[in-house]
Amino acid sequence: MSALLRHPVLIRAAQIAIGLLMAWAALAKLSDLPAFAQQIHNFRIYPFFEFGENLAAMVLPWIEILAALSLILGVRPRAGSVVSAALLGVFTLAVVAALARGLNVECGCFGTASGSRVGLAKVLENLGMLALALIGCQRACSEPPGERRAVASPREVSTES
Amino acid sequence: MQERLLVESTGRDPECVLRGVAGIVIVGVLLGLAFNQLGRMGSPPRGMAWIAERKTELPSLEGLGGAQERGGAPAANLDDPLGGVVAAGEDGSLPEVPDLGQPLRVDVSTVKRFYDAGAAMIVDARDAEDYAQGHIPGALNLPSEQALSDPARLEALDPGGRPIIVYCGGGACEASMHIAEALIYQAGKRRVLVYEGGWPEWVAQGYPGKTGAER
Repeated sequence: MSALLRHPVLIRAAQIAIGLLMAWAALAKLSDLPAFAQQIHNFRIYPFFEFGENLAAMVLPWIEILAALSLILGVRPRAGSVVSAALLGVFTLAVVAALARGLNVECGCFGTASGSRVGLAKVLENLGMLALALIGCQRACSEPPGERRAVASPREVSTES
Repeated sequence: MQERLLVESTGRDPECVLRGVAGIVIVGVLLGLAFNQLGRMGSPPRGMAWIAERKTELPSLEGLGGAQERGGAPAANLDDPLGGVVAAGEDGSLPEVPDLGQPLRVDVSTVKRFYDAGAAMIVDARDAEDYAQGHIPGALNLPSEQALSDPARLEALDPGGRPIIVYCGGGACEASMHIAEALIYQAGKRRVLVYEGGWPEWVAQGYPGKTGAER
């Protein structure tokens, strides 16, 4: 199972899939940044975030776009996966926090176009995407175990040199 | 030697990923700020202020001019045919609707709160056929063409001290704006709100609707 999850084809497929999703989300947000800022505001992440709403709305879509390009084009795709996983983790926490406080707000996950609201379905959707991003974070299972063990032993490194 | 190369490659890997992550974040932040700054310099300006205005400083005008504030313009822009935005309070309470002598915008979630509380008179400005196919329950049907040619009908509206929310078919629909202006400038009504998203947005939110002609 572990080897299957680290199969190079699966990892690449997960990276491309999450890359396409991130690109879609970013473009939807960029089409109406003030609306995205309002959606961030609606999550009421106070008092820590009140003044950062506009800044977050400005930069998040661009970070998403760069992560998406990295994933789709295969340029440092593990870095793109780590960024995507971190963003999805934060978004999922925000949705869970909104749910816990009984807020009925628009998610803003895919801009204003989807009009989806926070709920259990949104949490599951985010967790699914997070799982994809985490699969994409992995190194492909290509080296034999013996060579990987060498990482944990600095002494072996020094004896070689 | 081959083993050593593999060991070094694996050992540098996290560092390589971290550099990639830092690069994505830094370049993303710079691009976001630059894109916004370019938008602010454009004509008309489209960018936002870097720091969001504190929205809780106007408790009695909650959300008034929210859209304009985010764009850095004055809170109540009286050159705008719709002077500002009325949004629900931070604690989810109904906003106090100011009487500025002009129509104000209202967003869907606030309309829903007014609807739930029965705290506003809701007017559907579409024609009777569209109204019959689906409307916000309890909404009065005032097709704009008929209503505008019959000012007495507008004057006869009695919202019972509540604000009046007017909507139509969303998008490019202007009937709600025409009715709202007629209500204020011709019929002397106060605190009239225009719900621009209209019926399509209300339905898209999954909010209740009702079919059939007005009784």
